Amino acid sequence: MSNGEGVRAKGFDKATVRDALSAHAAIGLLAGAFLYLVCLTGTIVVFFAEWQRIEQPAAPEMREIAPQSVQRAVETVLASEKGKPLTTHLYVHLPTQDLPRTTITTDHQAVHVASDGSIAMPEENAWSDYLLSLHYTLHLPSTLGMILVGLLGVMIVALAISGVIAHPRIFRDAFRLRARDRGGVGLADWHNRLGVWTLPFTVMIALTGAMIGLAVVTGYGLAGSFYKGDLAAVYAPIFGGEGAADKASAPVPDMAAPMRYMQAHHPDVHPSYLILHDPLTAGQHVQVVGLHPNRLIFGEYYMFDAKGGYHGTAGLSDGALGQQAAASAYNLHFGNYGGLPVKIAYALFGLALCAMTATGTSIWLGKRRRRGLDHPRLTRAWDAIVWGSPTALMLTFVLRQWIGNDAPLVAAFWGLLVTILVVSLVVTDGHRFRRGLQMLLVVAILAGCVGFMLAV
Amino acid sequence: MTVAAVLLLRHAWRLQGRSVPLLGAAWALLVLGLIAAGAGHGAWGVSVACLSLMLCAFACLAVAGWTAPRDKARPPQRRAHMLPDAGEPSYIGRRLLTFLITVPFALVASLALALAMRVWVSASGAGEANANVVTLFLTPLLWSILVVLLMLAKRRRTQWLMLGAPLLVGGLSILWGMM
Repeated sequence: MSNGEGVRAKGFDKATVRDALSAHAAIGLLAGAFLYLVCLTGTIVVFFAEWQRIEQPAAPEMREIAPQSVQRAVETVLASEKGKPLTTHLYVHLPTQDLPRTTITTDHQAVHVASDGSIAMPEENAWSDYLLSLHYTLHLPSTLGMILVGLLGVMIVALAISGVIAHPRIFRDAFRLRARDRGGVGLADWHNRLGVWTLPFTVMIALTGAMIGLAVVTGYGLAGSFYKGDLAAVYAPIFGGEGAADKASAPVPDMAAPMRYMQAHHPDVHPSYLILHDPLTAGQHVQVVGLHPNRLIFGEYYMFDAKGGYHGTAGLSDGALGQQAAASAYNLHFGNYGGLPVKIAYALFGLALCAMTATGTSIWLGKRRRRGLDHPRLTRAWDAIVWGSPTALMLTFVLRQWIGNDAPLVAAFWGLLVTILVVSLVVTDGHRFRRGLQMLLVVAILAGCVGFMLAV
Repeated sequence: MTVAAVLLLRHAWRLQGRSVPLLGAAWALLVLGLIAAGAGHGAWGVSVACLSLMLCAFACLAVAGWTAPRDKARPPQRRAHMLPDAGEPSYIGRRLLTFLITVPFALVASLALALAMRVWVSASGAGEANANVVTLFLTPLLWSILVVLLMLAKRRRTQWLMLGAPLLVGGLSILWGMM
């Protein structure tokens, strides 16, 4: 942006470069605030497992759990739900490197399990879940929200393409950073340099995010065109199909046998989940999600019947290329395929993406100001988004620590953000407003740290 | 290897004149590094190698930012033509139609083309899982490309043609696939 003026791009004429800049600005401004929010929450949610541990530090942790302890815990949980409608699925999260906890989740409850198989306490990670929901759906109804976030992913890819076309010297100037330059050049350099070096990350994150978000739309398209409207049939060849339902009652299945089978036959594979389908019915069956080291896939499904008999895998680790690619999209997007180093790298690049989104609008506002078209309210409103969103997120974290798991986090976040936006339209000193928000963010982070230290 | 490639690129781009051999060597090293990572650890290896090269580039950028002198370069003046200047008409209707063309209409066109690809991939014997996953990945990718192409188009008629062609191809392919 800063260096490309008057330079004819190789392969693109001047008019195309100019039109690409218009397209780049139009997409960025249209989606700017939501893009920033999704990038910001995505950056924080990289540490989803760690946030859960911070949120409930007293939950029992263990490196592994014995199969008979899991069996005992599942029996206790299912017994506690007598008289309620049968849960459709029961999930046992087994201890992993980043989340060394055993947690059982059903349609009715979620509880942490001690290493002896006794129920320790209810799971309380409302803030982590609210953060994830904000990233996935912007707290909208799930289908609508996911489509909207998928659309934002598409816009990021479009921004990357139009950004490269609009800036002819973007690769040649890839290491030129006039960071201390005021008056727009420094801001533009930061925007362009971060943009060019996070390009593979940006495209990969956006494309996998868009694929996940738009899977509903594409899935219905596939179902309507080729599967007589059956959405489950679209995913069956990829992730494996559900077994035939048989609602006749049955005893608690053997959950320990699949774990023992995995230990005996796949010692290199680390089970991360046990999924019990249709519990306490004759059609119940168990899936083990096994983590494969040094792979991008989120895991492989190992299938077992209620007595622990092995029935093969879904093929996510060694099946069709499409299966492996689909199973890799999730880890690639969330950055949980290489432990803490990869997560830190993702958080760093996520911050860069936030900075690009924030500076993009600021560059545009700055250009207009230099042409004599000042927009003080719009500038303050943009500051409210850029600094107000992390502040509101951190304040809800403090609220969660203060009130507890039942704190009204969604209402509090949107209430705070709207209030900050309204204040931005009322105040007159933009500089003091921005400094005030930055100070509030620092205070909120410190309050969150103090709250955590008091809870440990 | 990818880290070395980034350092070599940095050196080559800092030279006054363009050094084709150096640039070529840097890009070749980068590609070789990614191939080696892929050969050793598959897609996981390529991802980790990409993260390494981006981290190295960030470190170089941090140095460039830290050592940058205070400068007074002329700020960029290129207009993005997003909002009208004082006295210019706002063209609200035209902008709204552009939004409709690039967002909902382009989604439908991209989906139609992705579904057409599913028919062709399936017909080539690639298997049901591969065909469905190709469609899932192609819809957002085609939509992104279409958004850019539509916004670069200078005439409205060209935009309608860009939407119509994938719809026609997609519709005919789906019909053929259903038969």
